[in-house]
Amino acid sequence: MSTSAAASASAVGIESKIRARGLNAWYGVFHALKGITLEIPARRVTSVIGPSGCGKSTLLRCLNRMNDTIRSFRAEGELLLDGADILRETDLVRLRKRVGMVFQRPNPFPLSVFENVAYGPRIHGERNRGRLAEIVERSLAATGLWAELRDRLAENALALSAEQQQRLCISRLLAVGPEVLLMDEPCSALDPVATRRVEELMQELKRDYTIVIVTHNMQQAARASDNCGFMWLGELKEFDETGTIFTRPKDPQTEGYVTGRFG
Amino acid sequence: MSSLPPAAEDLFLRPRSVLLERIVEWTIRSSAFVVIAALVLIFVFVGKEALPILTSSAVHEEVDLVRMVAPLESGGFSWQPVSTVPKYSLLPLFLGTLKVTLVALLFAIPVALGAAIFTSEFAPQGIREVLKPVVELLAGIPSVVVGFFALMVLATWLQDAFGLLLRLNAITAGLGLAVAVIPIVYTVAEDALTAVPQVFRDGSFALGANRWQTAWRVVLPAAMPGVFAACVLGAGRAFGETMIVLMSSGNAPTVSLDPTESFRSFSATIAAELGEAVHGGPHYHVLFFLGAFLFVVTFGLNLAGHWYVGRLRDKMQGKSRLASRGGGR
Repeated sequence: MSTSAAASASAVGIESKIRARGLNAWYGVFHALKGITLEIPARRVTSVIGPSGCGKSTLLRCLNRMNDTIRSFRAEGELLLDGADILRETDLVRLRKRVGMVFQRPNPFPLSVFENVAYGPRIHGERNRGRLAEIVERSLAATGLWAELRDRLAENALALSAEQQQRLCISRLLAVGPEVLLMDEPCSALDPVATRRVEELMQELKRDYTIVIVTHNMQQAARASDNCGFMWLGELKEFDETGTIFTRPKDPQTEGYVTGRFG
Repeated sequence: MSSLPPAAEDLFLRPRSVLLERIVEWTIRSSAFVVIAALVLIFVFVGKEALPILTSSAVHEEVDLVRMVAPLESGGFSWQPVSTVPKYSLLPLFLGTLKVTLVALLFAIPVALGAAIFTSEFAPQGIREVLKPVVELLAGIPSVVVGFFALMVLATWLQDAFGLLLRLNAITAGLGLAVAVIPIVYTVAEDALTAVPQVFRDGSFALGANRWQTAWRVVLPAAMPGVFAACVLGAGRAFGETMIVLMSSGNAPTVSLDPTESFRSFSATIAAELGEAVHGGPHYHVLFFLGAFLFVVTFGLNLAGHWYVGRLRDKMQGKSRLASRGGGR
């Protein structure tokens, strides 16, 4: 499974951005991740699918240590970002600058569009108005929002449509210059048209960023991702190129899930 | 009701229960009505007793609105309602009320907001569960006890610490008053901060912000309507609070904004003098006029606060007309 994916990835000369080996995680006594081993290739879209409660969101939140706020949470094993250990990283600010996250429900701050995008650079010490304006324009342009919102920068972000809000959240992330974008069901609050636009955006963004997306929506995984992992009860059952997962899965449970027999 | 099992549904339809429900409904409705009626009647009563200041010629021989506001013929402003020539300048009382309210808010708002931010954003669960009830318990201390403490203990401490000339002054009274204001501001502000959805905090943390940056730049702005309401409620309480100020202000109606001098507030004046004033005399009506003024100011403060909170909330949710026109902040 994962070894074959790693092999195929290295065979075509794709560098891996994130590497997990024997990653285990617990919430109290609940064993949420069981020996996850995978390699997430750089500048591609990697999706993780599986039924609710299978641990896919937990896996995602390990990658930028968002579970640290949960007191009973504990993770062990090896999880490397460009060879550096994520789990033993002490500088969370630096880690989260490199590995940003987009959430299930769009969560722009109740500030203006400009302040939302400028928030990240500001907290990381950028005070120069000119440079901030430049970063805001560039980040909004990268998600296609600049054309729509250039005259509405002072407007409260909560007045935007859900889809614009989600793209704003992605812009907000891009403004701090991350390398990896984690997306936790980014389209589940959006309608099909908005979903397609976000998926197209992911295809554009993968030229510069490594994207990991967790989704309930198998069609979305099939359409938008290059690699795909199937999780079941805390285990990564299969990890391979997306086409292989959906057409020639090796694991019978994966096959059952992607063909819709359960899940 | 449809989610209830059939047996329970029968219960609701039985005539005896319908009658019972009517009775309960009317009891609740009438108690709500009593509260509103009491409020209206108090206002009518206070207004009726204050009205002669504007209308009665008998009262006008001794005092009228102009003489209460303008400088006295003898020069200056003074409040001496029982001297041979009674003087009713409002300025000393107004300045006294103003300075003690400002001093109290200056102490209370930073402390209360700091405590509220600490409780909602930083305190571990265990401390949070103890802290909130304890601070709210402060509100239960009778104000006469706080006044006594300010009068006997606080005044001496402050005098020794800062070498003040007068024991009883606006700093002493303001600090005592702050004890009464802090729990109100704290409780309302803490509720507002806790009500800020976790997704805002997550979004901020995910961008690499620390707790301080998140609390200060995201949670506090998001909770602004509630925090502002807390401050307005606190100001209303400080403005109207009587006993603490009466006991620790020194009760000297001075024309001064110096917080180290004794002063006298509107509320303390009413409490101290109404028992001695001749019923139906000019002094009596002036005191009711002060009462009506206090009533209107506190009511206005709450109303303005309410209106502004609603506006802020709309703006936060992106609903304001200003926002949809794409105007600035």
